[in-house]
Amino acid sequence: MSVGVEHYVLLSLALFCIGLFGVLTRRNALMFLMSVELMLNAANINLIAFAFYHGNLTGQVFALFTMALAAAEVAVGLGIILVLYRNFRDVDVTVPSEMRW
Amino acid sequence: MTQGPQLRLGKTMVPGVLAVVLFAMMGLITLNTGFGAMTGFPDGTAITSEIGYAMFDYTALQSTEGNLGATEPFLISFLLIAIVLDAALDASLVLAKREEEGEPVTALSSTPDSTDAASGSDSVTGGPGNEPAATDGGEDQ
Amino acid sequence: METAFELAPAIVLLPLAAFVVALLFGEYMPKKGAFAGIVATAASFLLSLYVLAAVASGGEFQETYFTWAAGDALSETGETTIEFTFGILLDPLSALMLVIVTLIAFLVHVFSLGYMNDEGETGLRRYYAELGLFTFSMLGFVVADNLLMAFMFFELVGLCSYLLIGFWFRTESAPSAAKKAFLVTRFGDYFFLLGVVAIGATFGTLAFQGDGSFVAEASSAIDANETLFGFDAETWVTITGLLVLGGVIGKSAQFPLHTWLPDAMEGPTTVSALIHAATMVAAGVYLVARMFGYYALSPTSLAIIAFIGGFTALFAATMGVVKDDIKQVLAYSTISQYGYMMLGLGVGGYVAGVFHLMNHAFFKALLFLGAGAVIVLMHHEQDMWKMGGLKDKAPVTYYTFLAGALALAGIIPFSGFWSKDEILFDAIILGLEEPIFLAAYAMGLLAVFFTGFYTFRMVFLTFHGEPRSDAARDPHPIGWNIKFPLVTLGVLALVAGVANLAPVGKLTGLEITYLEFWLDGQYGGYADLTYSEYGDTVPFETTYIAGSETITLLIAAGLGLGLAVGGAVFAMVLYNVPEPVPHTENLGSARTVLRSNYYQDEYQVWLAEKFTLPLARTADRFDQSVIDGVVNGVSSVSLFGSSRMQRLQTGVVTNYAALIIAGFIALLLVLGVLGGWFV
Repeated sequence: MSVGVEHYVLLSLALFCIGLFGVLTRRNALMFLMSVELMLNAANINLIAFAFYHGNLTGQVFALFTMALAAAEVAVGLGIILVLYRNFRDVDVTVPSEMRW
Repeated sequence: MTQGPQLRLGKTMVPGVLAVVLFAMMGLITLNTGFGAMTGFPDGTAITSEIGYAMFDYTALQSTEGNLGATEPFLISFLLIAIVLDAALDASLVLAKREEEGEPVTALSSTPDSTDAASGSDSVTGGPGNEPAATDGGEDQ
Repeated sequence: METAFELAPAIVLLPLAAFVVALLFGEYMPKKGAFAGIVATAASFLLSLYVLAAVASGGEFQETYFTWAAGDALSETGETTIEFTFGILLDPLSALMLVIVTLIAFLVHVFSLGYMNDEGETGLRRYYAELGLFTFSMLGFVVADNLLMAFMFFELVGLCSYLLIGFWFRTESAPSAAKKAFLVTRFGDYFFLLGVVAIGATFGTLAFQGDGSFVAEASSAIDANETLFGFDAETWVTITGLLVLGGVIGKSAQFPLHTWLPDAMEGPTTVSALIHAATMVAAGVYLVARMFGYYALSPTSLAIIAFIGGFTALFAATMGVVKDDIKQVLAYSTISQYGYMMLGLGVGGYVAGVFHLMNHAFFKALLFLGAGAVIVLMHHEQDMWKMGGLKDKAPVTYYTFLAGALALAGIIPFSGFWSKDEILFDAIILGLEEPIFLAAYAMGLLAVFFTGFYTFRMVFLTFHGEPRSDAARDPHPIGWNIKFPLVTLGVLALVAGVANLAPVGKLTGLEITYLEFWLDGQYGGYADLTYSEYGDTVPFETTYIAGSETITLLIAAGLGLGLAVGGAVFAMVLYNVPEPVPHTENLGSARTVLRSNYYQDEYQVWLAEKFTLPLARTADRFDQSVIDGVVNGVSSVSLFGSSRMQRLQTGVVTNYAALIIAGFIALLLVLGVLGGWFV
């Protein structure tokens, strides 16, 4: 059977949901960040797939940009984790619960 | 003897059900959507160079085969991304700076000595001599 | 004389201006606002005389100045609209009352210069302002052309009475008395309001005069044998009349709502003279006179008025006999005399009642002002047993007070005799035809004896004999501002009887009953508000002793005069001695009952504690628990819900992410089902 776009979409969906699973269940902040990266990559796959679907390169160029953004976001995220550790002595994301009522 | 990291199982996995549910739902939606056939890229086109032409607004050089001509120009985005990356780098450096005994300590320092701290961070910003990185707005030593 | 009528609103508004001036600028004025009041009341008095002359030369006036609400309302008699207006009605009765009220207000203002200013009282700005407000309200009440406006000014007058009784509010008794006065009269006014609403709902109009008045509507309803609210027309007229009478009983201090008037003596004596002798308590009787055409339609209400009046006259006169405070004697005397007026009106003696109202205003104000002079003389001592021998030290006060006392007791030829005699005459000629009224007549007659007795007891204890205290031996001097009003009123107490010398007129055949002609509209006035019109409406037949008017006249006058003189002589025998003793102590337990005012105060307090208080408590509990409970319950739902919702915000980032995803899933579900994505 030919590989239709829905296979790619399912693939990106699976990746996204795995990343989401990680975001929801992982307690280590670094693993949390990695899951977020997974979700970003899932989006990238989707972009590429649809670029091929439309015969248009917009999706591929856009995917390059999202990769760059992901890198920037990880840089800042790691900085935040460092500060988090400094303040709470633990990289467990469930420990800081100050932002509430 | 250290133990490797253990995967936490049990009640903490409960929110993960949501992810599974989402996958199921979206999968069902995707399968019910009638996508058409894939329009591929025309044979013989150099994808990379086409990406480059599109990114830098070289519309004259773009190939006119198929839908390749309809690729949008991304020059502005490129420039913006450059700025964003730069900003992100600076932000991460600021966040990573440590304060010890009242003296700011940056991430690349090896000793907590104030004068050496300056030289450690200069490799990026290239500031003169024994000054700390100017990223914090000029804090006194 | 149109200009008199056009200027008539100024009569009412000038004292209001004095009120504002005294309130705002009183501190800076030399007499703290007295001159504003004096000028305003003098001007109002002159304008009232002008209006009186205008009515006398054949005029009458009714004008609506302001309609403050008008709308559709279906009344029982078929009127489809109702209007609430402010307007004035100037006819013989109101013109006469205007003159009386403004004259006494003016004299009281002048007297206050001596009683309050010269005695160094403080808070006078408030005093003169409140006097001005009171005068405005009373005058507004007098000229009111519809029942609702009359009610509003009735209430306003009650407010001013409260303010003025409680003038010395830093004492303990004065504010308490003020509250009592306000509450008791308010209780009566509640029935008055019900009456006003009932009349408005029944007849669709509240005007006193004219073809569109409720009197005319009621009359035609009775003639047509209509059924109003399920009652026969006459019964309904009786019921509504009695409801309005509730307010009259409260305001004119008739039994059972008389208990506030003796306590109202806590206010300054000038206030007692103005309000609680001559004007405010007259408001109730004036209202009955104003609405007399309405009351005349129902013999039952007239009978009730007569009985209440006669009973109150006797009841209060017996209590006045044992009082030691000069102002208390006068207070009970006021209650008793208003009983006479109600008796007079109830037996159909419209002219007699109004005549007594006029005379009583003069002589009672005179007596109160005289008592005020005595209080100033006695360095503010009010117990008669500490007085004595003042007649040599203060002749002006003595002679004017004596004139007032003779008028009150009803000794010929002073004014009180003529009016009281006419009331008793009207009562007996009706009583002979309808024996039930003889009881009211008998009570009124017996009260004459007591009136004579307590009046002269008061005079002899205060002025005759040897001085019984240092204050009496060395009285404080009084100035012209006290003597001038006393002399004016003294002269009036002597000559005011000339207005309606009915017995003389009947015996000699001369036409000298001027007041009767005045109220009969022979000089001017509206045809439906005249004495003869009322006489036609009143369903009573009268008859004479042995068929002769002259004999009846002489017997009635003789009885009245004889009893009055008898009471005076009795008092003279007992008290006109150098060293009088409290003879009333010989009455024993009767005296205790009388001094305790027949325990009426205790009875009313008991009623309040047994019925009103538990009712109020239940209402309060209902309000707190049910009504506040519902409101609090509504808010507690919100509070509870919000406190639960708060738990959602745990501060843990992964929880927030989970919530976002959950919401997203829900949204997708909804959109998918609606959009047919899952089909």
